[in-house]
Amino acid sequence: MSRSSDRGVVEPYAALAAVLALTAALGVYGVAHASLPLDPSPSTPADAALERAADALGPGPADPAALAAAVGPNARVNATLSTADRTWHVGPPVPAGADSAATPLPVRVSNRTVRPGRLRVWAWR
Amino acid sequence: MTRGTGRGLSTVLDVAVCVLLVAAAVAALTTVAPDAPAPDTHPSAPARAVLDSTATVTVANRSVHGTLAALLADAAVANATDAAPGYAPDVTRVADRRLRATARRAAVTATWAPPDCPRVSLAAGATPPPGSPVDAVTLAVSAENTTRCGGAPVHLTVRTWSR
Repeated sequence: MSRSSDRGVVEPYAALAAVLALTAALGVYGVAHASLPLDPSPSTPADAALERAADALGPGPADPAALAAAVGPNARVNATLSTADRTWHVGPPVPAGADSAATPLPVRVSNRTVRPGRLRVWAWR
Repeated sequence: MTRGTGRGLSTVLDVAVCVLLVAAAVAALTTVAPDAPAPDTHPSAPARAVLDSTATVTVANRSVHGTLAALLADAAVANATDAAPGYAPDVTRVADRRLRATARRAAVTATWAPPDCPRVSLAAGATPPPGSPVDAVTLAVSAENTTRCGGAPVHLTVRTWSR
């Protein structure tokens, strides 16, 4: 071994352990970074369908007669509008494992009467 | 050879510091990262459902029909001016029932702070547990300047919480 190459030498085991430790540390960092949720609230098909239906029902009290038009001709969406004593359904029967989302909203029960209600939308593939 | 050992030691020290920094970065990454999204407790949807709903309340042998927002604002003003005894409790009771039917963890307050009368506050719904984070939305309902208290809007605040 020449003198010049002797200068920067490291204990081989120490160097090996250092490289391994660094690799492991960077690996742990990579795993931690990859496991971070990029989108804090991943939107499900039911969320999207609920948002569409709620938007279509408009900002005022929801009209149950407009529910079918609000949901649209989608064979994989079922919507239920309910108040304390009445319920309106639109869409095919809900299969097992369907995803659902709901939001409270005011429902126009008759010309002069608005009741608090809930719109629940099921969506499946 | 002493120089070589010194270099070796410093390299190990360098790597140790580097690993320490990476560990700190991992710790920061996991603690700073947001938790799983909290359940949706945004109060504007329940507020709309409850305050837009209509009710009929009988006061002094006269029935008053309107949205709960209008009734609550009216009742707050009536309460401040002692205009209609029993009106405010009746409206509050209806609001309480509607609120509990819509969202389990929600409350509404109607506050009127007129310039020439003491401040009035009506409350309905549940009470948030102490220390729990609360979301709130406030709507201002204009009140007519026809009373001796002077004009000021009534503030309706709906609060929701998840635990």
